[in-house]
Amino acid sequence: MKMHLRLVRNKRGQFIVIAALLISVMIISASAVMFSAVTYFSHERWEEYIIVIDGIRTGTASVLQLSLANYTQTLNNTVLKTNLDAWRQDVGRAYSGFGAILSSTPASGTYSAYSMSLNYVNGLASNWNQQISFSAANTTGSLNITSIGLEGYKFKASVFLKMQIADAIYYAGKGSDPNYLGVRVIVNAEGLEVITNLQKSNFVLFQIGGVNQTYTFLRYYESVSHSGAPALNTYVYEMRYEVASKPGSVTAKVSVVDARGIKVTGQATLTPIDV
Amino acid sequence: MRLHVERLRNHKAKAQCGQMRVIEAIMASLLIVFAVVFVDLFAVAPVSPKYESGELEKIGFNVLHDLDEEGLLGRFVCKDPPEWANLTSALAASLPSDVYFNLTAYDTTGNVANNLPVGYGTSRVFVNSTYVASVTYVVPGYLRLYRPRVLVLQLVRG
Repeated sequence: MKMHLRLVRNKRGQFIVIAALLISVMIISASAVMFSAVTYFSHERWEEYIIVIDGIRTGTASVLQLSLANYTQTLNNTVLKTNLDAWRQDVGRAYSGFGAILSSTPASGTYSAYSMSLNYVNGLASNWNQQISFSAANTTGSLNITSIGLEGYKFKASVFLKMQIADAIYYAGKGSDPNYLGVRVIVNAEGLEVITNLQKSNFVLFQIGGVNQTYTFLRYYESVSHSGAPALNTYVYEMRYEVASKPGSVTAKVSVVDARGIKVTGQATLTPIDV
Repeated sequence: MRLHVERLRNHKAKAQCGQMRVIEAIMASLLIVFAVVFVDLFAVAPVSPKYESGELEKIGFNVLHDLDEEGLLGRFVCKDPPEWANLTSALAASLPSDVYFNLTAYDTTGNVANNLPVGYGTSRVFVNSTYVASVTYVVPGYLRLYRPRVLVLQLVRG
């Protein structure tokens, strides 16, 4: 009788072990299934696709930049269209494994930006020989990556260079010292970011009354007001040249080519103010 | 009557015994699961090739992208003549010191454009390495010249 009971109890103990193992297996299996369900998409090569998209976006902005540089120096207004077509083909070839298809629509018509009116033709716009002059390029890209079913990913790219001929400052020489007149300009890039890295060599033209001038180049942050005029409070470039006396007004023409090769020419008639 | 009461008592005792068995089974299961999870916490898994090459790809792309944003990549690659030595120096300075690289530039027709090798590390490093990451980057041109170059940057960790 005792022997029989022990056998039964032993069998029950085995049952608990087996039941515990089975439940453990069930829990672990369920966890594994849940984990794989949650992390299923993380095994996709998202990083690689993001890298490709970023590369194409940056490249499109570069195409815009070099096309604007070309346009402002050659005035060929079809250059952006030609380059974007070539870029579309090259992107397709370079990322053929991803099935990358790029299309671009250059801006056309009048846009309002930076408190100005930008009139685009074939994605390019320029308004020169003004006190505030600019060169601009703008396009909208649309990207498909067929290998992951990405369609119609839209992005914008724009390049902008603005030059403002701010004022002219008259420096009266003491005694026999010569007198000087300084023409000051402010240069901005897209987002109205102030460009501060330009050198004398970037200012390819400086004329007063249609005559080239020999000048001293200065660059500094201007926070001082002159003759009651409000302080500019920005980074300025000054072209200072010698004058016999204080002129009533001067017509200054300035051309700047920035580090990207984009050119702007501005012109303004200024009344000199005393320092 | 006494027999009936005795039977009821036995039945109740058996039922309580069964509940205890279920609780024991659950506790034992949890013990096993916790043991598995605990061991897993201390397990040092080997580096996944997918993860490692993904990391290297990110590093490589970021370096090329930063050079491009600075306007240096176009100058090194698309200028006439290109500055391959400067590109090598810039990549060596920007990449981590334990990462070896080899860059090949192609023109749009698929011809190799770099007449000088751009790399750091011997070819044996690339042959012997288990994980080789590869990044493709296209540079459209430099200044006003559209002259695209397809850069293929291979990276291995030393």
